[in-house]
Parts: sequence; structure tokens; C-alpha cells
Amino acid sequence: MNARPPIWITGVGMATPLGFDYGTVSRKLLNGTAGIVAIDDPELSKLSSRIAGRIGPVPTPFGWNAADFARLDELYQAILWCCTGALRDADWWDRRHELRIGLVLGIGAEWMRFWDVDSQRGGNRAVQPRPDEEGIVHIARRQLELTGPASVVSAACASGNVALAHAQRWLRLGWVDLCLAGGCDLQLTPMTLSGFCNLRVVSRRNEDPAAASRPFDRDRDGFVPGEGGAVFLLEPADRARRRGARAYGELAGNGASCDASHLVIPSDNPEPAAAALRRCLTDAGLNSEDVDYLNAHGTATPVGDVCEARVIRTVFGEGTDRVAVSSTKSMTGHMLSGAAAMEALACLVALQNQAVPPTINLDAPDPECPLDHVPNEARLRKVDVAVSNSFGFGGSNCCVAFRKVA
Amino acid sequence: MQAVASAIDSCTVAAWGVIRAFQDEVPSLRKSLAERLDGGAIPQLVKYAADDSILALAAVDRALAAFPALREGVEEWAVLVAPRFFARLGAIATIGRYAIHGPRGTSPLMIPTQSLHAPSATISLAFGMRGPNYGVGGGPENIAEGLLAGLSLQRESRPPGTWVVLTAWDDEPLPERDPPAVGRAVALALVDHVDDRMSLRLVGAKPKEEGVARLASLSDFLASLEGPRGTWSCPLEWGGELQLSGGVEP
Repeated sequence: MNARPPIWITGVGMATPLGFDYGTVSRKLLNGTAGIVAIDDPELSKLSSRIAGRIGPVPTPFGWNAADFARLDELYQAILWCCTGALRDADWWDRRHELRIGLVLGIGAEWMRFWDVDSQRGGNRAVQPRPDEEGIVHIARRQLELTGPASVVSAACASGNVALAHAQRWLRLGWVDLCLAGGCDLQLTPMTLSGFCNLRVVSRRNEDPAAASRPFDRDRDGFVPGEGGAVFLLEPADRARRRGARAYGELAGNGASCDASHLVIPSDNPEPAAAALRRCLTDAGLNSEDVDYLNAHGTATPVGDVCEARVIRTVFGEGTDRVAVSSTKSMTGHMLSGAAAMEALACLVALQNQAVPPTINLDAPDPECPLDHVPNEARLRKVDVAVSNSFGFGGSNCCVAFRKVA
Repeated sequence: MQAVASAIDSCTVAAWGVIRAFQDEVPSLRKSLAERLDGGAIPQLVKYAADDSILALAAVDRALAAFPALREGVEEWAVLVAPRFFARLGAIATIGRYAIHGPRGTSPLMIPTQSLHAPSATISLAFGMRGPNYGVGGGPENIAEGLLAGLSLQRESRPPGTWVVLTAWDDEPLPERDPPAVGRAVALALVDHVDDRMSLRLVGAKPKEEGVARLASLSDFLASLEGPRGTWSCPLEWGGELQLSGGVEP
């Protein structure tokens, strides 16, 4: 096995309910700004949940004709915006042909969405397969003129972390020189939203969208769906250091597991998810005492938050109360397979600002979730290490750790 | 056997299972799996799983039956499934129900069973495997993506083993299709180097080749009567190729 050189994040691109650029999103995360809005689509007026974290129109990325870009599918627009943004932010855009750059994206149900959206527009692609169909990351790879491998991964709501782990492996093995990785989801279609409503996992606090996403609060009533995502440019530290690149943080390690318990409900046994968190810390060469901030999966479902609190206490034991915990889904909603990438971004914001983004709407912490919460206002504190938990449908758990770059 | 170029990375394939079934044979495969894989939630799990998930599950079941030594000790194995156009039949049904009944016509099981993570989750649940678990690919490049994912996970993260399961239909399945579509699944059990009887290699520095690998060619390679011999190759869009080599004496 190759040595494990540190891997830095030297570029970020994002399309989120809080904004499309790092400065804006960073400020809103630390100010505790909610990005949840009412859905005014008449087709959805009969749904039990009519609130979401929406991204709105995606700006045209550098190098694109606005009219051409506007004709693209919205998911593809968001991916192009994020990838272009990350490459430009890292100052690799003009030199991207010089190196083998990989692309790994967490996308939960690309083809289901494609067929669903196509059918809404009067198409029939689900029953009329065409020989020229191509996956979205491969189209992006080609149009971005990347020369490394490309892949989609999906662990439902943990997809973005799985993508980061996947890319980290490719870099450690030397298969790529640089790698774009993250997650993106635009799944707020009428069919998918009705699926979530019928599954009874989403908030019905329609009258007060900004207060609807309430992770760890006693009055939480389910998650608020969101959309969007983020993409990161991962770069070996020695290369980044040589060229004097800015580092948002080091992607220090990853760990994964499966509950093997239920397709939807998290296991009441904390050990499988705890194994993912422990593997992540081991992979990063960290002890649990090293962790300053934990960005929780924290969806605001009654069962999920309690299970996660148990997982955190299982791993951190008596040190649990020294780890600041927050769920930024309180502001963004649950961005599904884009969620983990958004939360990786929140970890980088914490490292960069030495401040922990809050869990907003946390007015009465659930006593069954006894953690060192950061309620409603950001907390200034030392953040040298941040860890992000992500747990998906199907019982897939994936955690990633970030370290501050001196 | 053709000469094997020097590998960038490789691992041993400790077991494999191949499934080929017509679209209209999937219900009986589903029923037999529900009966054979006895356990609390398994009948429900199998009942609602997408056809592609049933093929994937059956391929792992077949690999475990053919290589019984693996049965003990797979609890911490990783499971990756790379389907091609996953759950098309389910999507067609869901879209049709939505068109008629609106939001109340959408099954609450649509997201858990028709998203890309579903087949790997189904396998982990059915066999109690608690290692890393996720779906890969989902489109026409599923074979290359799945094999690359499995090789990199096994080589770098070193779980005790990694199942890589690939599924595809020779022609896409459609309701009432006549003749019925042929579905395939191949399950490969990747482990760290044990021997070279069967290995998966990533070989670099090859000229770029056009086209994508077909699952039919891989399943034919694995299903030959005398066991896999020679080399099956999967070209990579970024140059190089993946090679599955069998028949080399240890």
C-alpha cells in the first residue's frame, strides 16, 4: 500500500439553500440563517409537507453561455457550477488538463430522477431507452475536460461522505493526481416528495418554514427536505504546499459501516454506526479526545436523533460533553445525497473561523439526546478537528474527519 | 493466455457467483430467496426489492453456495453494487401510479427500494454484513465503476473482504416485453492477495479504447464449464483497463 500523504481541500464549489459562494454560505451558517421556504407548487398543495430548502436558479458558471446553460437539466447545472467553482477556487481551472483529475459524486437516484423529470415534461424515456444514454458524471467529466476516472456513488443520505472517502482512496492509491468529490441532489420532485410524505418522515410544520427543521429539539417532527450540494477539490498536501495554495482544511480520514438492520429505520444498537465513527478516527490517526466539533447527521426525525446521540456517547464516552455538536440541517434542510457534502462544508467553515455553526430552532433540547449542543448561536472555540457523521437509508454509515491546516 | 501488463493495483477474487434470468423468472427467484434466506425481516425485504436487487442478492447467494468456506466470516465485509439503469421497471410503475393517483399513489417504499443504494443495502441486510455499503454507477459505465470502487476499497481501506456485484439487462426490461428481457448479475468476492488463481487488476498506460464492457461477456467468462481461464478485460475511459484473470495455477 502506498504511503498516506495528507490530502488538503484547496477548492470548494457549492449550490445550497444558503447560497452559491463560500463567503455567503459561511456567513449564513455562522449567523444561524434558515434557508427553508414554503413550496408554492400547486401540484404539491395537497402534500402533508410543503416546505423545503430550495436553491433557486443556478448561476451560469465561468466559461458558459448563459442561454446554453439555461437549457441544461437543473441537476447538471448544479454539478457544473460546483465543479467549475471548485476548480477555479483552487486555481486549477486553466491548468486542469495538465494533471489527471478524477470526479466522484454522491447522487442518490440519478436515473429515477431523470425518468421522473422527463415524464413530468411529457417524455417517455423510462420506457423508451436510448443507446446513447450517458451518466451525468461522465458527461460532466467530458465537458469539464477532465482526464481521470469518474464515478457516482450512493449511500442515500451519506452519499457525499462516501464520495469523499472514495476520492481519498483514489488519491492515496495514486490513481489520480487531484480529485473533485462531493455530492449533489435535486430530488424535490412531486413524486419524490410524496414518497417522503407517505413514508411519514418529514416535518409538517408548514406554517413556519424557518422553524420547521429542529434537530435534537423536543418538538421536532421529522426532517425538512432540501436540495443542492457541494464539491471539493482534493489535492495532495505536498503539491498544494509547493504552489502556495490556500487550504480550507485537511481531509484527514474516513470510516464506514452498515447497520444491516432495516431499510429505513436506524438501528437501536449504536455499535454499527459507532464502528464507522471509530474507523474514521483511526484512519485519520485521531483519538476521540482530539475532536473539537462534530457535525451531526441530525435530521430531526424523532427516532434518528436519539439513535445518533447514543452513537456519539458510545464513541466519546465521558468525553462527550467536551465535543461541540450541531446539526446544520436546521438551516439547510436535509439535502439528501447532497447533505453530507454540505456538512463537510460546514466543518471547513468551523475550522476556518474557529467557530461552531449552531443548531437553530433548538429551544428545548430533547433529554434523550444529551450532547454538548450549540443551540441557536455560533460558538467561538478552538476547532482543530471536525468530524461529520452521515447515516443513510439502508443503514449505511459514513463519517469523515477534517483537520485544520496550520 | 495473453500476457498481463504490470498492474497498478490488484487483489484476489476469492469467489464468484453468476445469475442469468429472464424478466418473467424473477418472481420465482424472489420466492425461492425468501424461502431460503430465512430470517425475521427477510421475506418482506425480498418481497419489495427491485428486480435488479433480487438478481444481485441471488448472485451473492450463489457465490456463497459455491464457495461455502466464505460463509463464516463475512459479517464485516463491504458490499458494493453497481447496477445498470437500476429499477427501471419500478420507476415505470411508480411514474404510472403517480400519473393516475397523484401523490397518494406513490409508495412509501419507492425511495428505500428504488434508489441506487438499495441493492447493496438489501444484500447487507439479508446476510448480516456490516462493512461499508453503497451503490456505485447506475448507468452504462457501471461495470468499470463498480470494479474500480471495489478494488480501491479493498486495497486501501482493507475490510476483510469486499463484494462487488454488477447487474444489467441485455435489453432493458419493460412491462409486458416479449420476449422477456434477460437480466444478469455477477458477484465477485474481493480479498487481499491470497493467490493468483483469480485476480482483479488495474492495468495502466494502455491506449484509450472506445466502448464499455458488457456484463454478458463477463458472465460468460466466469460461467465457462472448466472455470474461468485467460483474461477478461474492461476498458477504462481514462486509459488503461481492468483485467480479470483466471486459470493461473497458484
